[in-house]
Amino acid sequence: MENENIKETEELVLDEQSSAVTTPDEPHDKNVKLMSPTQMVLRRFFRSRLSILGLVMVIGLFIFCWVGPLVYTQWGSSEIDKTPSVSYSVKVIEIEGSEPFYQVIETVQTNNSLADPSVSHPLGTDKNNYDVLARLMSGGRISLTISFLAVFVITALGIVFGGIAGYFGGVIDNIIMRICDVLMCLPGFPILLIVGTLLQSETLGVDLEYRIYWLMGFLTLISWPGTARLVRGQILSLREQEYMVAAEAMGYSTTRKIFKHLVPNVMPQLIVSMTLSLGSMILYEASLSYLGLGAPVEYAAWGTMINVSSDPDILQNHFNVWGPPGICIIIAVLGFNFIGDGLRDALDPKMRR
Amino acid sequence: MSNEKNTEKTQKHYLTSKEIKAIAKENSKVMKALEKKKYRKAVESEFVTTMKDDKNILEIEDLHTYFFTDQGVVKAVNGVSFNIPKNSTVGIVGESGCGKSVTSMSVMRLLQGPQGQIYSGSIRFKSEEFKRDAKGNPIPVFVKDENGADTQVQATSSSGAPLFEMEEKVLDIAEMPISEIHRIRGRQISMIFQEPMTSLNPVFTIGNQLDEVVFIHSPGATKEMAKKRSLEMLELVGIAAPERVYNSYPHELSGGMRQRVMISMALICDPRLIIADEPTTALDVTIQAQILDLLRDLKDRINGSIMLITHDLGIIAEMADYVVVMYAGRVIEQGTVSEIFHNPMHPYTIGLQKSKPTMDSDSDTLFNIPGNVPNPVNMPSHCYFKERCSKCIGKCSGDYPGMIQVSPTHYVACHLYGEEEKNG
Amino acid sequence: MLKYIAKRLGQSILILLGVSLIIYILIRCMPVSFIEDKIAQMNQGGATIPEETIVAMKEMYGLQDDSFLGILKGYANWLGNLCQFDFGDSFKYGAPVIDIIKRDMGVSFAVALVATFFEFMIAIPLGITAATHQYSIRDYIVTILVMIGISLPSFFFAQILQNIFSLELGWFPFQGFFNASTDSSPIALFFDKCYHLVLPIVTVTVLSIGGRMRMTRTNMLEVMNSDYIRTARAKGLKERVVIYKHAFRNTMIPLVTSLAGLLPSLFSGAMITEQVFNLPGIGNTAYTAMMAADIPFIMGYNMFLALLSVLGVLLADLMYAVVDPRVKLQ
Repeated sequence: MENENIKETEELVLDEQSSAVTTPDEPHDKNVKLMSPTQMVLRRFFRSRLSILGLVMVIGLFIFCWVGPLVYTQWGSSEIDKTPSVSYSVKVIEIEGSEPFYQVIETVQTNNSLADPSVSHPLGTDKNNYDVLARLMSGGRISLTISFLAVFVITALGIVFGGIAGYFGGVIDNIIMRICDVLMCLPGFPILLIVGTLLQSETLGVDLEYRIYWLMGFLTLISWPGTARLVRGQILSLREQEYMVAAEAMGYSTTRKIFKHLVPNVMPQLIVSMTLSLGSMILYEASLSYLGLGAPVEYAAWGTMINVSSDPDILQNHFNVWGPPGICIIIAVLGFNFIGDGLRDALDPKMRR
Repeated sequence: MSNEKNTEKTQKHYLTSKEIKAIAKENSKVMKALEKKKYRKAVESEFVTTMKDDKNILEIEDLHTYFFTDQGVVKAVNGVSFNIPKNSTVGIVGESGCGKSVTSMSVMRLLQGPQGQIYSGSIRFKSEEFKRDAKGNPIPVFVKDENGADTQVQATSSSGAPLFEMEEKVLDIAEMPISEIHRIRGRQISMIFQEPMTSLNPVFTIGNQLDEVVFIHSPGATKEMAKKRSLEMLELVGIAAPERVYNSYPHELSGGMRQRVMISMALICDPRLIIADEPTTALDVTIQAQILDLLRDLKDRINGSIMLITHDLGIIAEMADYVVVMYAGRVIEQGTVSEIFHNPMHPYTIGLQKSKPTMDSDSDTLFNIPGNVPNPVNMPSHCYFKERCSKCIGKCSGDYPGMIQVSPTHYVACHLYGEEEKNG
Repeated sequence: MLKYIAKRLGQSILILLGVSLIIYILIRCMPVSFIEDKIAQMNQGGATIPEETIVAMKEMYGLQDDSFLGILKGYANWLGNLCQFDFGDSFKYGAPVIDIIKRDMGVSFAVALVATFFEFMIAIPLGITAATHQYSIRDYIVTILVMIGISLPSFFFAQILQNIFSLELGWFPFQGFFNASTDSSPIALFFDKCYHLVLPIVTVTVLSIGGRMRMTRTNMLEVMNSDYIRTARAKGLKERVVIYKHAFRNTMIPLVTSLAGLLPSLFSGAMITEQVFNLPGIGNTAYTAMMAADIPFIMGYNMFLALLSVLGVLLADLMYAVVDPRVKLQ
């Protein structure tokens, strides 16, 4: 509900802008109604059912992770369930020639670990006595925040370096592009592993809780070349376009040229690549956590929660521990991918109507 | 909403989201039905008809071709009727966006689905097809011996291609399912597109693309035959080094060369009807003249008809036997070339004539017709030209004028002449 | 053409130098030192190692100086050896790095090759049907299925496969490369190995189909909207020929060139998948080496990957010139 309202007001603001200036979009015939550019983009976006599905999935996850804890207050995300549980099992011992014995074994567990789903724990508890549902919500907050931060940093770096390279060209362009080449040839995953162990060193003094943030930060440092190349390529091709020549002829200032003409033209592609890389960032974060480079369990993201393959018992008998976080990752990545695809179709002016 | 002022302001020019939803819903319903019809399996009797006039090769009657866009239904062709007689050139003129190209695309059934659809109307085409036996194979023509009996040797044409028995059938192209359309495309009706630069497949050689047409349309053609025919055609369209062009890729040729290749591709199977959609717009003037000469020669040689689409009245005057003037998706005047040029009747045609630059004109400035074509969504119910017309009369605010016959071949759709005819 | 390749190769060497420098510095900064680990192990045995021995050991491995200059010196040393095609001996495995890479690459390469084959065989037809039936139910189903494939974290999917096909159904082995008991004929051993590789191959294939299918679909859509497809239709070709001859040849251009870009992933090994299935592939070996700070091996492995990706990019560009008649290299 909330989201809808926001979108509509946005639309109206944009509409006002476009009708205030007499643009060629305005119909010649005053009786004829047309669609505003925003409406057209929205219409194209929503034409594919998958984009709607993606939007629903992502919004649902956000509500689950941020609003969820307000509703589900039974257990905190780092609260250990210390309810001791007692279970009884009966063993029958038969000895020839006499009545069988009944042996009652009483097992007392001091902590309620690996509990099956029940009313008090809708998704059960994990090995460390945490409530899985509560952990799922807090893990999601970490996963989503990290991915958003990473994508924004990558995009910002990409715009800055790509923009500089594309706009000024020459030696600067050459230097930046060679740096890009080197960074693009770095084998990403092995490097992250090395940096991950490097962060363990006491001299750096990185809190384990924040190690994953540092790691993702490093990932952004080696991932911006993709975006930078995109921006540079766009700017180079746009510089050759007639309307840029026209802007030059009109005597526009450099800032005006960049922000009024170049940036809006690069934006659609950037938005698409940002949405798509959101998904891959979540996957990266999950894989790093899986390899044990994530935060300790009580601050852990989804990836750490799945890491149980070392324990075949959990793998086989406690799907409720590692299944839900996996499904959450799938939903998040899938959602971002669907939205990204939808946006690409909607924002690409070359696509037929 | 809180900011009502904004809403009011925007509603003037833009559709509300409710309207957009309604349009989308309606569109998808109609498009689905039309797409289903397009992909249906149909028996031949469903689309075999008869011609109104046997002299014609193509009869278009009340053709409606719509585009179902998000902003509403664009009636690009809105009730067009005209005929193309055998061995003649019919020119179609009009401003850009008046539905000329869409009409030709409808004849070829090349509209981009699912948005572009033939909504109603008929396109009757006299087609000459292979007679087929019970198994669906074409029946060969055998060489007759002295006694007049068939021998087992198949007759061949002058170029060495095997001959088959043919039969004439009248097909309604608008009713045909899309799976049957290959019977007509290429061999009987072929098309020359207006974008020579992008209309050839970049990854195949010219020879490959030309031979392909021969292979699909003449059963039993061999590789040598196809190559011989392709080289012959390339030479015919005035290419000096056919062998070299035959082996080159499209990007290695200039625009003029590519257009010639396109033309040779369109003519390679001796089609009964050639649709030339602005064949010369992309070319410079000297080549234009050459290409037009070429088209005229070829038409006489292969005894075909040409549907020539252009906005250049000079080309029409030079090439066409009949002229159809279109405006905003409708035919507003049609007649022989001398009738249209010497006795234009519709104010729009008169305006078109006046806006043509001439050497003997007294004034320095060119005449222009004021205003623009009305928006194709939500067309008015009165004459579409009313707002721009200088000879408007009271009746013009009424219904759209019907076609009025002024001479056996001359028709005009204008209220000015309706009265006249009644009186006289 | 040759000049172009020579120029590109020259550039590649510069890039590789930059890459190796970055990696070397990073490794030398790693807190886990192979020597310290080893000493800790020895200490556990009861004996205390005298300080001189430690220094001598460090000297032996060339790790005596941890200052910045020392690191640079170590790098120069490594580079000097490299010029004689000597990657050095692995600390951990005690054998030349090249030999270990050669030894473990086989499994990883087999998995990657088979998976890539299936990836293309499955993804391309799917992409084409999805594109030719855009916005139809078929398009939606294919897209959703392959997108789920992209969205799966590899370890999660591998665990699910293990759970279902190995633990529950018992059809395939849980982990490992061969059963120790199999000391029978080489043919039986070969089939046993293949049997163990089924689940890893399925994992890698399913994860990669999505991207390839999406690439095919986008390209196909773009091609189907072009003027020359309209021409092909106007010629009277049947829709099947239009799609599989005229459109397909154009769609193949980016697909074939992307094949060259796959070069590094063919040899690098799927680190996580190999971990989950405990395969003795190069990814697994590299992971262990990295955890043990085995400097020569890490350098060798990473440089091997960097070299492959540089070659991959170059090869992709060359492929373009081969497949697309419009492209001429300058």
